[in-house]
Amino acid sequence: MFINDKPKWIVLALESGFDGVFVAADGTDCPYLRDCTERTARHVKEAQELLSGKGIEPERVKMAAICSVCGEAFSRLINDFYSRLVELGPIRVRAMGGDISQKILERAELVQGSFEYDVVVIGGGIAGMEASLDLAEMGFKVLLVEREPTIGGKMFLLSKVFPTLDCASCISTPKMAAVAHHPNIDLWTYSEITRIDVKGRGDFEITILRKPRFVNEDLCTGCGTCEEVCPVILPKEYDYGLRGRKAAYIPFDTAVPKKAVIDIDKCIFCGQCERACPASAIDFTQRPRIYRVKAHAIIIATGYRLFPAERKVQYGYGKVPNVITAMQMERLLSPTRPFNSVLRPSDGKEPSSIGYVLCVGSRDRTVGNPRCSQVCCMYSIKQAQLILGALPLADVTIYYMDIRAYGKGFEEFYQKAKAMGVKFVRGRVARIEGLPNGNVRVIYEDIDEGKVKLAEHDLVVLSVGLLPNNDDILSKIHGAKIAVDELGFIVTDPSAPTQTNVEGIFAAGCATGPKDIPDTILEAASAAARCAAYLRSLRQEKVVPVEVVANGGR
Amino acid sequence: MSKREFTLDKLKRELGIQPPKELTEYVREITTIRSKIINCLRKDGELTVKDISLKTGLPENIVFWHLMTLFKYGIVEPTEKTDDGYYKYRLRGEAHG
Repeated sequence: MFINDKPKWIVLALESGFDGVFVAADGTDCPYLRDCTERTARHVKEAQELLSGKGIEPERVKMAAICSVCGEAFSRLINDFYSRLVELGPIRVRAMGGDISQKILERAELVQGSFEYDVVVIGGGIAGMEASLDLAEMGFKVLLVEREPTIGGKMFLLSKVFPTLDCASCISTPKMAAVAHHPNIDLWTYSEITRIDVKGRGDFEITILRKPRFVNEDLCTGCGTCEEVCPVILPKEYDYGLRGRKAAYIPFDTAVPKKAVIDIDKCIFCGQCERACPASAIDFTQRPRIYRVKAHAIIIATGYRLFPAERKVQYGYGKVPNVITAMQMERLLSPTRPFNSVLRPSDGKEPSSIGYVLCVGSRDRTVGNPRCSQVCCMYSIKQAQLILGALPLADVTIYYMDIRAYGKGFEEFYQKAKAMGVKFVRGRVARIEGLPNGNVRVIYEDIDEGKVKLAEHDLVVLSVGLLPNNDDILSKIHGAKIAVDELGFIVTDPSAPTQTNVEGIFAAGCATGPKDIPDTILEAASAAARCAAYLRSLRQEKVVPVEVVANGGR
Repeated sequence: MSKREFTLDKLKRELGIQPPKELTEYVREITTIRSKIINCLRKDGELTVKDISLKTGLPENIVFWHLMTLFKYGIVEPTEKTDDGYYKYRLRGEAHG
């Protein structure tokens, strides 16, 4: 798309339903305007400001100076831009009500007072919870900050863990409760770090925005009445869109805290929740609160994000109805599953033939991620075993490049799956197509036989890789720069694997690279121990007062 | 006894906000879909996704998505499974002959 002096055209495109606009400016060799790039950049900046004012993410507009020989660069830029748009989600749902959250954000008030902690832990997944609990047990005052309305991260969404097949939520739920009740941990959910200032040795100032739930947490009993009466139904994030949730909702039954939250951008202001709430807990007058918190150390435990499967266009995710991701299959196999059984989403049929495609978005240079995600082989084998438990007559086929069963008990787990009847086909899947009856055709190369073959399944699962989830937090650090590797995972000291290049900032779990749950917990415990040693060294130097008093503010 | 002032009214007054038209239209649309599915089950008892789709004219994937949402909110429940692997669903607590 070419523009001249019309930033409003870009805004109009996004308001008309386009998810993003890529502006290709000419370089300095433009025969008409030598300053084309500068002019276009001004227009793009103006368009982004207009979008911000409307509550639409400015990242939906991207510009680059592209000349006639920039084919490869263009392809890379478009791929990156597409990936970002997938993360942002469709514009329609996002744009609805954006003005409202913006107006509410403008009412944010700075909370006066002293808020001081030994450690701020960023991220309430299994790594953040483990590190917080370990430090709290050692007597340090911890503030755990979680962006979502509940802690638990991704682990509580899983069915079982490999290779022991222990119940994932049975492990994570007691930890979630322990975090909430520990006297040395303050838990701030639905809160975002907006800035981190590195001021000196053991001296960090962290600015935190606590978003309003529009529910008084002291009064809410988590009864769910608001959710029952709310008329708005939206895709439920915790079930990866497989079913709906309301605009007034409790994230899930074992949420911590088990308090309702109102998605104000999707609220139609019918007032039914407020009239129905038996505890009179709904409070639309709540404002966002900004806190400035002092801390002597930070642990980054922001976890991972899943590879957006839409990017592998040839695999049809988002277009072929019965192609789902492995995380969606985890939900289908979980005790808190969204359906009444393992069913395919196009028509509710119980699948009798299920195919798994491994290495989707990992070990794949075409999507910019050459690294192995370490867990996909094993979680796929685990799911195959669980499917055979839930649907004993089903056929499960796993298409793989090579099986990486590297950990303790992993090889035996792989052999057990084979013995149970899981079919392993060594081959790379080229394309996936939808068939009129809802079935899915897989076109693949069978490496052992050296032939291109076709297979038909009721349901196909894409075993997606793990990507870094650090960009947002790292860009907010001022006064120091955390080193990341070429993929964006945090680089740690090889001789102290949880220590970043910035003194006093530690990292744990998938923030430093893909890993399984036991390794994540191990690394979180290591980060806590390193952090404790660091805090003690500060105290011995008397940089930090011996007795640190935390001010709650829950 | 004075009339209770709702905090929502206060917010609307202070910020002068209304829900976007696009959102209210969306809610109207999904409410209609939901009603069609519930009325269909109320009238005909136990049905598969395909049955509901044929009777309402709604696509099967839309029917199934709403059915599963209704299932999780305790409004519908599965009954028997057909030979070709489809479950039948009915309104919870409603007996049908």
